[in-house]
Order: sequence, then C-alpha cells, then structure tokens
Amino acid sequence: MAFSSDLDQITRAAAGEQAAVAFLVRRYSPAVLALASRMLNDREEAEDVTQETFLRAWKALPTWEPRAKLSTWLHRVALNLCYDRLRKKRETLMDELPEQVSLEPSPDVQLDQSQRVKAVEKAIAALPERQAAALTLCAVQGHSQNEAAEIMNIGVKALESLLSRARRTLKHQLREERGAG
Amino acid sequence: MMTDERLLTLIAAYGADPSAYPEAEQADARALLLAAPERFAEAIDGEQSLDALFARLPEIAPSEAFEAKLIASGPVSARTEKRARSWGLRWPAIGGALASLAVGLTAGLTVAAPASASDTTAEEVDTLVMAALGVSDYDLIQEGEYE
Repeated sequence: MAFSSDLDQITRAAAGEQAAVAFLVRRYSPAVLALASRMLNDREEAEDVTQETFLRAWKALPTWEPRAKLSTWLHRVALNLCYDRLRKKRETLMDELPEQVSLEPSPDVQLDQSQRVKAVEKAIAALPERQAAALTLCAVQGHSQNEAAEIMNIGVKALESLLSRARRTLKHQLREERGAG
Repeated sequence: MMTDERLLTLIAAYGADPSAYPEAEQADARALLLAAPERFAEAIDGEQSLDALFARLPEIAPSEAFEAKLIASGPVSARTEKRARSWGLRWPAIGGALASLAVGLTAGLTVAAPASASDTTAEEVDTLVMAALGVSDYDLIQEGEYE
C-alpha cells in the first residue's frame, strides 16, 4: 500500500523536492528515533543515530533500488549504528562493573506504574543488543516477524529464539519484583 | 496443523495475543487455544503482564525542532542550489557596488564641502540672467564690472 507512494516520494525527495523530503522525515523519523531510543536508552544519542541514518538515506536516494523498502532500510541502518555505539560503550566501560538493572522497588518506596514502565524501558536497553532489537521491533513497535527478521538480517526462527530469551529475562525480573513487593 | 509445542513456542516468543503471531499461524493458534485453554493457561498468564507493560511504554516522538533539522539535512533541488549559488556569486558584486557608493558619497562630501557650492551656483545664475538680457561676460569686463 505505502510502497508505491513511498517510491514516488523517494524519487521526488532525491530531486530535492522539499515536500517529499518532509514527508519521508515525518513518516519514518518517529519509528527510527523510537528504535534508537529503546536500544540506547538515551535521547540525545538516539537523535544522533536518527540524524546519521537520514543523512545516509539522502545519499542513497539518487540510486535507490525501486524494490527496496525504505522503512526496512532505515531501521537496519539505525540498528547497525546503535550496535556500533553499544559496542563502543561496552569497550569503554569494560573495566567498570556492569550496571545491575532491577525492577525491584526500593525498600521504602513501592514502584508505581510509571516507575515500573521506566524500569522496563531500562531493562529492555540492558538486554543483549540483538534481544533488545528483536523485542523492540516486534513487541514494542509491532513490526511483523518477516519485517523484523529482514531488518535484523536473520531468519524468523532466530528471531523467535531471541524474542523468547528476551521475554524470559524480563519476566524473571518482574517475578523478582513481585516477590520483593 | 498447530501443535501444543508450536503454540507454546509462539506464546514464549510473541506473547499472549495471537494477533502478534505470524499471520499464517494465527487462525490455527486461536483454534487450539479455544479447544484446550487449560493446557496453555499458565504460559498465557506469564506473558500477559509483560504484554501489558509493553503496551504502556510511552510513545517516543521527535520534537518539531529535530524534525526540522532532519528536513533541512535533506537533498536540495538543483534549481534551489543554483539560485543559492547565483546569489552567492552576486552578493560580492552587490556588496562592491554598495561599498563604492559609500566611498563615493563620503569622498564627495569630504572634498566638496570646503568649496562654496552656493557661490558657484549664484555665478552661474547671474551669467544666465545676463545672457538672457543680452549682456555677456566680455561686456561686463569691458564696463569694469569685474574690477
């Protein structure tokens, strides 16, 4: 449905038509920014990744392959940029103790719903990067299995395995929270 | 054909809601869940709270300023670029002309100011009036007017 209209907008954007450029930004930047935010748990870094993703897209538009799907391409570029940043962070923090993410309430404060949601956001970002990506794409952003697998450049079976492991980790943390509450 | 094992795998990967499962398997998954809910109740229950938390995650949207920044980073049409370039080329010429004008005015005012512009103008007017009356400079000199 959006495919042919995307192609039209891509052609016009490549020619420098500002309305088409704005259309593509408004259509795809929220999802790209959301993916990067969930992965990095840092708004500023997520914006940097989003901007770099779009800069790469602008360069790619003049030679755009009509069969390629812009949404998948943008998500894949953004995801790879997130992986790069997470790896660099990990290298930098190698000597430091890893941050323990917990959904448990502090002894004297019961977590309210918003705190719990924040803790879940933090817990997603703390998952191994591919698990975090699979979970964000499928469970949070609602991409289909095929789309998510294509973005991650893996098969659907591998995606399912990553999703199961991600959910298991999060459920474990939630159970601990309930036990402590 | 949906098996118990496959349905449990789907629940573990995609959660409690069959609409999140691969499209080709949704109908069979729903049918099996309806046929034997007790066999999957524990698995479903375990995923429901997680699904609810995911649904409550706040939406992340770009600010207007950030959106504008992304748009501004986009490709520029050849015509717009040409116009910008041509203005870029014209500005030095326009600037030069304005600078010359300013220098000219300043110089004109500075140099012309000591001279008595009104005297010169008055002489010219007198000459014109005399000429109109048929009196030339020569006649006035002859009559000792210039002495």
